[in-house]
Parts: sequence; C-alpha cells; structure tokens
Amino acid sequence: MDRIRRSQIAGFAAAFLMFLVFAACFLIYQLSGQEAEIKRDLAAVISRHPELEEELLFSEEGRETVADSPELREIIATLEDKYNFSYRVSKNTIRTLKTGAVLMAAAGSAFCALALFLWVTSRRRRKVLEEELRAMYTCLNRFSTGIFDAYKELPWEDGRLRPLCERIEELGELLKLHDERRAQEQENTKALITNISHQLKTPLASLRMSHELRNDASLSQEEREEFYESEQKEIMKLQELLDVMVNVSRLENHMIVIRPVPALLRNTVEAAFNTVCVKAAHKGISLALHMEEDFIVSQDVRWSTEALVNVLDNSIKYSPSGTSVTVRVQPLTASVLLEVEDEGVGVPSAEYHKIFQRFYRGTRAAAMESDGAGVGLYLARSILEQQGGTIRVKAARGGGSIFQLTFVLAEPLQNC
Amino acid sequence: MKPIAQTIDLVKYYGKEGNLVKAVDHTSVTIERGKFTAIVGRSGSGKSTLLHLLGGLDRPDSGKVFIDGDDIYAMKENELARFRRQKVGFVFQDYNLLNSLNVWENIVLPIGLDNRKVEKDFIMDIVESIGLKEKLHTRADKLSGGQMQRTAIARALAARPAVILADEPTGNLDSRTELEVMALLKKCVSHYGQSLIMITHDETIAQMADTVCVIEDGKVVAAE
Repeated sequence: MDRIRRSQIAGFAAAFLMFLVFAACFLIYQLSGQEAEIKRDLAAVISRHPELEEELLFSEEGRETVADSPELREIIATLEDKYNFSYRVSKNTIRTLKTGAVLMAAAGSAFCALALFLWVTSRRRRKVLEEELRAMYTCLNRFSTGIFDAYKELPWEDGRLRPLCERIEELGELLKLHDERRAQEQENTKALITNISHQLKTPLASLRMSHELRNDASLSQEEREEFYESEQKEIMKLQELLDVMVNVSRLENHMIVIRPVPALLRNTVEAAFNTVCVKAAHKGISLALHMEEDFIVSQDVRWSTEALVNVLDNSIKYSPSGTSVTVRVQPLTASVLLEVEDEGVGVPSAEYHKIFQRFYRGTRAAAMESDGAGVGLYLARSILEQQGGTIRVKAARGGGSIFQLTFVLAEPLQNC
Repeated sequence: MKPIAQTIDLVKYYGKEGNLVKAVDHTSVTIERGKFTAIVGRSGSGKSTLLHLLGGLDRPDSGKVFIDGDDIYAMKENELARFRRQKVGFVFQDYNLLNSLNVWENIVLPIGLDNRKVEKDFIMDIVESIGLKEKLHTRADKLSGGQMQRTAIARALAARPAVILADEPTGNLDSRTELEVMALLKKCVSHYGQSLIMITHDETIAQMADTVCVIEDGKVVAAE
C-alpha cells in the first residue's frame, strides 16, 4: 500500500517537473522573439539617427554615465514616444526573465535526470528482490523434495530479505537435523532388532535341540531328566534376556518414566542382593556389603534396584568362582558413593567409555562368556543418570574392576 | 540446530623446522549442543591447544573455529575479547578464584565486570544445586579444593555462556571429590541444557561424558 502511494507521488512529481520544463522552454522562446523585435526597432532608430548610434549601443551595454546626458535622455524619450517602446525597461526585464527561464529549464532537466536515475535503480533493486524471492521459492521447493541443504544456494548479499533468508536457512538446518535424527533412530531400531534376534537365536536353538532329542525313544529316564534340566536352564536364560531387552526398548522409547523420590538406600541394596545371591552362590562367588549408615537418596527404588542388579550381575558373570564381590557405601558431599568391586577380568582403560554403550561387549568379556547382550551396564547408566547420579568404572588393585555409582543425597551434607 | 562448536581444518604448529610440534594438525571436529563432550588424549597430544583455540585464547595458523555459529577468528581482537566474556565459560585445573573475595563475590564478579545484571534467583538456584549455599560468605582461601572447583563451576554457569570449556577440572582433586565434581558437571549439562567441553588425559573421567573424542598427535582419531 505504502509502495503504491509512493510511486503515485513520484509520478505526479515527475509530471509536474516535465510541465515546468516545457513552460520554461516556451517562455524562452517567447522572450527571444521579443528581444529580436526590440533589436529590430533599435536598428530602425539607429538608421534614422546615425548620430545617436554610439549612445544607443553604449546604453545597451549599460554605460549609463556617458549616455545619461539630459540631451540624450530627451532624444531617447522622443524616440520612445515616437516608436512606442520602452527601451531600457523591456531590455532589462527580458534579460532577467530569460535568465530565470534558462535556470528553471536547467533545474527541471536536472530533476528529470535524477528522477530517471532513481527509477532505474529502484527497478534494478526490484529485479534483485525478485531474484532473491525466486531463489527462496526454489529453495523451499527443494526442501519439499528432501534436499535440505538447498539453503546454501540462497543469495548471501545483505539485501532487505536477509532476515528471511536466515529463517529459511534455520529451517533447512532444522529439517536436516530432524532427518538425521530420524535416520539415526531408524538405524538404532534396526540395530536393536538385529541384536535381539541374534541374542535370542542361540538359546532358542539349543532349547529346540534338547527338546527334539528328549523325544527320542532310546533315551534312559536319567538322560531324559538331564535334557529336561538343561531345557529349563535355557528357558530361564531366554526369560532373563527378554526381560532386559524389553526394559531397554521401553527405556529407549521413553515408555519407562523414572520418578526419583527420597528413599532409603539400604533397602535398594538389599533387594538387589536378594535378586543376585542365588546366581552368585551357584558360581561360588561370595557377596559382601560394607555400609555403616543408611542414607536417604533421591531414587526410583524399582529402577535403582534394576540398575544395581545389572552391575552386580555383570561383576558375577565376569569373575571366576571362588572370588568375592564387595559393595561399599560411603557419603560424599552432595551424593552417596556406592562401589562394586570384583576380582574378575577387568576392563582395559581404552574401553572405559564404551562398556556403557548399548550392545557393546568388552573384548575380555566376549572372550570369557559367549552369552551376554551388552545391555546391562547401558541400562544401569541410563537409569542412574536419569536420577541425577552417575556410574563409572576403574581398575581395582587386584586386577578386577571397581564400578562407582553415585546417588544424589535427598538432603545434601554441607560440611565437606 | 547448529552445533555449539565446530573446527574446520584447524592447524596450530609450534617451534621451527627440525623441532616442529604439530599441536593441532588439520583437525575438524563438530561438538553437539547441550551435550557433555570429553576430549581425551595423553599429555602432549595437543588437547590443551585445541581447547584454547576453541575458547578464543589463541590464534590458529589456519582453519576456522565456529562457536554458536560465529567464526571467532574472523573477529577483531576487542570483539573476540567481548565474545569470550559473554559466550564462553572457563573452568581450569587451578580454579583461578580471587582469594580476597567470598564465594558469592567470586561467582558474580565476571557478570559485574561485563556490566550485566546479576540474576539473583538463577544464581541462587545454581548455588543450591551445587551445594554451596552455606558457604556463600566464606572467603575463597578458606575453602577446600572441591569447594573451590564447585565455586569455579558456579561462576562459569552464572554468566550463562553458550559453552563451558573445562581444562582437567578435577586434576587437583582426590578421587572421591573428583567423582562428585564430575557428577555435578554432568548434572549441570542436563539441568541447564549447558554445552560442556572437557579435556582430560584420564579415561576414568572421560567415560562419564556423553561423547568422547580421542586425540593423538594433534589429530582426532576417534569420536564416540
């Protein structure tokens, strides 16, 4: 709207200027005619009175003093009466008017030129603007076909549309990011499915084998029972694996919500011990707990227990029989440190940051135990971090590992 | 969403021919926003130089550093200084606190120096979650190592920088305090959505980061 008004005003101004120029030209033409007429009359006067030629011409050049004698004035007055023209007045008026007209014409033309120049530049600017808009249009079109770095071809000049360009750029980057995330998630899901199916294959295969063999008529009762037992073991393994997998996939898809509330830590530790003690006893590994006082920490008891069970499970799995797993609890300033120390295979320091990644299995761990999905520690870390705590591993003096878990104290001690 | 920090073909050599040290050697890394990234390498691997270049404390021989989308070495010296004050928080091994000031004064000093308004509620929130509430009026030289480093972390967070750079932040602390300071750093990342880049030689500390970049002889050899 504003633009239209402005161009209208510009149009009127240009028309007015043109009118002025024409008027000035017309005036010049008219005045030139009058001047010629005066000159003609003057010539006529001089031809009749040759003796006055000098005075008349001098007076034309403005040397009033010489020509200004009373006699001359008289003669001129007579002449003016006779020929009916006022020589000096008209001469001066015409000259002034002519100068004015010339000036006006010059100024008018200059303004016209300026207006033309402005018009051309604004046209060029509009063209640039149009090009920028077209580039943006193309860019947005390419976004919709999935080419998200099309924004790199946008004009980079500091035009008036620069802010718009920047928004489009941000949009492109956002789309790209989302696209990458989606691809990443797809990859993740694929990896998850591949891993789960891979992990399930082995126990399922051995289960099927023993199931098929058990129906063989030539088997003794004793052998049959043996197969039955191993089947049960495999079923247990499958069950455990599935439980962990379900938890991982639920955690990844944000179906598990961890709600930390102030709760006693000892209960969590005892619940975890109860879960793993059978397995430990089976393997001949002794469990020990050193916990002098109890602490109220911020935790989701169910998931804290799950995390601790996973860490203990891991230590039991990768320790030889006859060793012990020790848990120590001690206060820090704003948190409580829970250490799980084993005498197992240990973790090489270059693998420290990898063992908490999903499906990562340490080189020594993989060499020692064929089953293990590489999700227990990942799950433990996810849970603990969502409660504001941490987990890390370091080498124990005896060659095993120490897992250090922290829980946030519900009421921080301030005296450290 | 732009990455919080990015280096493109960054180069920084020291010394002359013969004993040329390639501290940072054609390194291109991208560091994600809102994450805790550890740069790990042995001493002399060039990780400190890389951190200094990321923080605008040094000038590279060639290559570019983008922080929060800005090409920091395209800036003039005074622009860079202002940028550093407003966008980058530092946490060093030796804390760099002013001993004659108390905890609160140390925390708000950089904000005051920058002529910005002190957001009291925000800073009290940090102070509380960092466990320094009772120590606010204690002079810095009366604090333990862990408390000093917590003050330094609070100071870095209080200025609301785009990124915090930490150079061996637990280097002078005992193992237990180290664990606590690390837990605190992690919490700040998730709680305040802060981006944090930490360098360390210690895998035991690096494992607590979301992303670990391994650097050897001035080159990034692994990032996971």
